Amino acid sequence: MGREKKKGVSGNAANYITRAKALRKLQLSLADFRRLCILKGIYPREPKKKFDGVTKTYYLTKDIQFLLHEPLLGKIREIRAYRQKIKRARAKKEQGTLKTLLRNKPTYKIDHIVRERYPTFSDALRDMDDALSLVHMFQHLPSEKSIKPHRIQNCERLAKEFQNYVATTGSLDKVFVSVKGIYYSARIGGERTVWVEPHRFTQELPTDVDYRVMLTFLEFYECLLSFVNYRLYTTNGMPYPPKMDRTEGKVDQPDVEAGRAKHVQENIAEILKKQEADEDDEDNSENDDEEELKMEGEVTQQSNDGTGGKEILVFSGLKVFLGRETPVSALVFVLRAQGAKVGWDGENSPLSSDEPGLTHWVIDRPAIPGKRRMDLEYVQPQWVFDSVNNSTLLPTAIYGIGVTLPPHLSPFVDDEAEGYVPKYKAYLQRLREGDSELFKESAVAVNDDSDEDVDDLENADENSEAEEEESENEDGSGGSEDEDEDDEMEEDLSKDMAETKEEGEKESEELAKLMMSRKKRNLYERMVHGKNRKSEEVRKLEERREEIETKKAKKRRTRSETKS
Amino acid sequence: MEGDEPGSPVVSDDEADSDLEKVEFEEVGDEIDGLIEEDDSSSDEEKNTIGDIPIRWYDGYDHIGYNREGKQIIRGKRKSPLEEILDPNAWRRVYDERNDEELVLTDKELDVVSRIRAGQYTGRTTEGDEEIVPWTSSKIEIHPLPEPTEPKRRFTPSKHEAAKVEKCIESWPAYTWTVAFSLLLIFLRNVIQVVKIVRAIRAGLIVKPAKAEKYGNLYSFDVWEEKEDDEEKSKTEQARDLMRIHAPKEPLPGHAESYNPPAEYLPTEQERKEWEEAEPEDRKTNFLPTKYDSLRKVPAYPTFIRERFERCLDLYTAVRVRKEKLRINPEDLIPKLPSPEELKPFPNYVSCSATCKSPVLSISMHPAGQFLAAACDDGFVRFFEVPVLKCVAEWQLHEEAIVNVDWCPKPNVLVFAACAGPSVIIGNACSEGLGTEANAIDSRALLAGDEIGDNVSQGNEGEWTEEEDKSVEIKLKRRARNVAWHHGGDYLASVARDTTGSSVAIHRLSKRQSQVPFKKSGASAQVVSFHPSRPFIFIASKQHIRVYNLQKQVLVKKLLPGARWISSLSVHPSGDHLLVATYDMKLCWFDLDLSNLPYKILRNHDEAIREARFHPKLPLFADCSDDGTVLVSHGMVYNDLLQNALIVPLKRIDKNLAETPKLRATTLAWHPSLPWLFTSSGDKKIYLFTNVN
Repeated sequence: MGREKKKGVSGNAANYITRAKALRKLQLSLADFRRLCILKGIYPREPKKKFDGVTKTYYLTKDIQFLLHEPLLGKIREIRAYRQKIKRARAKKEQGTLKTLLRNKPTYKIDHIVRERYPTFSDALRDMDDALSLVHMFQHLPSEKSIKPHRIQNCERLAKEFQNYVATTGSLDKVFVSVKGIYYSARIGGERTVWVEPHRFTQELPTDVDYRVMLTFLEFYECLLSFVNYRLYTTNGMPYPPKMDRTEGKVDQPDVEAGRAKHVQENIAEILKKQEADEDDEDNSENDDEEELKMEGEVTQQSNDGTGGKEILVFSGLKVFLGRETPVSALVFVLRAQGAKVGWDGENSPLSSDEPGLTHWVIDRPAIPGKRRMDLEYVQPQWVFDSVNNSTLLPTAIYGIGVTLPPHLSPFVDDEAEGYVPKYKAYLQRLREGDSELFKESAVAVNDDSDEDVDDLENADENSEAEEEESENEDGSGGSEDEDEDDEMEEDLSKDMAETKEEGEKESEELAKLMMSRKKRNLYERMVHGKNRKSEEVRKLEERREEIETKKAKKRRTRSETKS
Repeated sequence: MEGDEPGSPVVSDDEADSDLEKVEFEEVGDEIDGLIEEDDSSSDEEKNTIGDIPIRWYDGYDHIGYNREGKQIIRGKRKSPLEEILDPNAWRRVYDERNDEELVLTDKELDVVSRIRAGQYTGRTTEGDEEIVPWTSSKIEIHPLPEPTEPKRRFTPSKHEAAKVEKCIESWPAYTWTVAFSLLLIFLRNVIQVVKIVRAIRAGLIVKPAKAEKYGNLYSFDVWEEKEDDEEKSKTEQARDLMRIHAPKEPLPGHAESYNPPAEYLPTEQERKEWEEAEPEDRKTNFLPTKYDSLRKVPAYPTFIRERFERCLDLYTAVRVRKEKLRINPEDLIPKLPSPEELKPFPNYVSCSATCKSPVLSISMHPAGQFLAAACDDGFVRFFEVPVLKCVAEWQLHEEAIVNVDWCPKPNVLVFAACAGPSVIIGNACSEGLGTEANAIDSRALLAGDEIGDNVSQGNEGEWTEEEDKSVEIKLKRRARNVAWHHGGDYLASVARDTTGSSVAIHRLSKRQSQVPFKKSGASAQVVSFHPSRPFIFIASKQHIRVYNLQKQVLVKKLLPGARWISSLSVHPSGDHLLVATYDMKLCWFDLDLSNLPYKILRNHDEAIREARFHPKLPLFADCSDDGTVLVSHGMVYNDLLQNALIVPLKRIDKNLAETPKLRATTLAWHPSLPWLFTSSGDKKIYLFTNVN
């Protein structure tokens, strides 16, 4: 018999600690503990056995021990003492003390935490989504008691700087306008970063939200984004801080092309250097090999994040003017990121509305104000976003002024995983593959569509293109009806054979399932259930589309009848 | 005289005030040196050594005492009073008669003298000079008086103030350092404190607060500048890295979230209503797909901040667990079994069916493979010839329904056992014209037994009556439900329907003897079966199966199928495997060499399984259930002890069974050598399933 095991020395009891115990150990209040956890990125865990009750929150003991050594812990205590002092001075009406105290608020920096949480720059890049989203949200918030104006300004600056970097390097690859806001996706350092920015409206601050939590997150994210911005700018040979035009809130970048060219040059220089090194130390030690590998990695990384992968930008060479009613800042960002020159209706616009070389005018109105200019094309804002997502310039006719827009599709959907491809997406796919006939058809279709009544346009859910396709299908099927009947018998026979064979297979599979263990059977059933649910959803979508199309076809028929 | 006099004591009044501290006797003396020549020594010490005695004792002598050398001090000649009057300094002179010399008083001495005479202090100090105001007595005060003597602390530098000053200096951001320092010098008379502060500054204890950096510029440097090195990490850090679980990224938006989604994504009226009425937690998506026909019409999303906040909450309060995502195809979970095609032959189609006159409760196939006996509800046993299923004979054994029928396992005899009511009837089918002459002879021999008429022997539980060459009836005390032959064809066992007490009886045909060997454990028996080669009997109660060695009369094994109610039992021809069907939808395969728990449990029916049987020769078994299906399976048993039995479900037969929804196959029997299966049920139909390719 071995010695009796002591309680709480090993296993779950030693590896995990409840929150209450952690608080006692760290001698912190719950609020301070939460703050520290947010900053240090510590989150609860789930022990296999909840030794202190299922309602408790458990942390890793190692995490808490790690917090014990945090220099910030001392600072937090200091701040707590400071608060007490202020309270005391207020209560005692010691104005002088209060003044001195207020002047000497203890401050701290959290750069070491950033370094600790993200030991390498690429680690940080991998985790930028939340940071960017929060910073982008805070820049639009009204300043309030707890949300200080300097924080908002800083957020604005950081967001602008980041967007400027993305625009300058052309690393924006997807945009999606949703009901929630605008999603942007950029590839930086080989990592895809997606963030969402709310629509430009004054945000109403809900009362049931704990802003302290968000502000603490923001504190960390501001720090992180500052470092990332600094690093991105400095490693790409761009001046930091960039010159900003505060009045318009736009980044006044001297020349996008220049920055890009510089970047490419740098890449080339590095590659050259590497080649030289190769030649010099061809028969050198292993260390050099390692270095080379590293260098290579860097080069590829840089080529990924910069212009290397994407030489031709969607809007390069275009001069676009934005209407007053469009979301100017978003459009400027997207257009610049894809190589266009942008002007807008306002101060500090680099292009004026009567600039000679304008190619496009982004407009979001039912009709053109003033005279229609014949030397440029009028498009709705969705044209910009859809073009970026499809990385081609889409036909402007579909997105013309006052036209019913085709659906705006999410570029983040994996069609295979989803199992359902909207019609417009299939059409765009064909377009991208260079189906020139389709292009002509679509143009015709759009023209037809635009002749339709406005009421009808509003009712119509599908785009005109879909209609056209459908009608084409109808025609096709009408022509070959007779042949079909002849073939029917043979087909049926072969179908029956196939069916019986399939049935047999199905049956044997069904029987084999009987031999599964209970555990496996349950797992199997769950998986099949999930699959079925998904296919059920897809089926529903398909049914609906069919329904809509038949409705429309009917409508068109009745209209043509009435016309004739 | 009078005119001279006031000057001298008063001279000093003005002068003394001006430099009060310098007043010393010697210096005053110096001033008046010119006036008075004085014997240096005389002023200091006594010349006369006579001590403190009255001088008048020396009145009679010409000397007045002795000096230090011991010589007489001769009394000098005194000035005459006239001479004294003539001397202008005479008023300053004092005669010291002890030393017999004249002293000239200095101004100071004169002053002192005058002070003494005026009733003042001798020393010229400030206090002394002041007029003494009678504090206590001059006027009556309403408040108590302070302590007249001030405490010492009032005159020493304050420690507390010094501490405060130090603090002030610590927090002195508003002024430049030099100004601060000069101000210090002005404010602090206390040099020691200043020195202390200076020292503290030099030691770095008092630090000039740095100018606060602008908020935005706090972090504009490169944190990742230093070489990023993994080797620096300590073991704990590495361990933490391993334990770290990155937060999952937010799911990316789909088409439905678009401001202008495809029409099929828009909710119907009903869906919209459902969404609006549901609690926010119960909603599938946190937004409702909406279509705006142009971008300018898109409003602000009201819960944007809330959703961000919830994400933040998730990031720091949600428990993170690493979950292995199964990347397996669900089809891979289905066990890979040999295809039924390879395991042919097995019965798969109805080749023949017959209709019985009354509902069939049990069927049994003769071991020679020619006749099928069916126990009917109306007390008949009907015989069908295989394979055409023609009813060749019928025999009313009893008034009550025949519950069970079983052929004697000897292929050459045509003797069967059936139970009806309280009796077990052993009948000779040859008497009904079945079989050949040889069969008839053998059957008669079997039925005749050894010693007839010994049925009153002790311990005989049954009452044996017989009809010559035709049948033997054993009347039991309780109603029988099940009968099973021993492979030798001499013994048979019966189970009583009433399960209280011992319900298993064993009968010996040759001796016409019945006994109830299991007094207690035979209780609540459901089915009974003999081992095909060894002297074992399997008795299934509702939940267990007990295996007894009949020779040694011991319990060999107790099998636990884990079922609630066993319905039937079938022993594999090898005797090592057992098939147990239960009313709770389970079919248990026992490998007796392996364990007393089932080797495999098949849940292959949706309702109670009535019967399961092994094929006597082929590796097949079948089971029939109340759900109207019969499942034929391949059950291969290997001689190698290391290899487990292979079970492959082959065919579910359900299409061609009868019309009535329930009880469509309650009993089944196998052909002794061919892969033919017979089923029957209460709907009077008997089916023959054969292997059709």
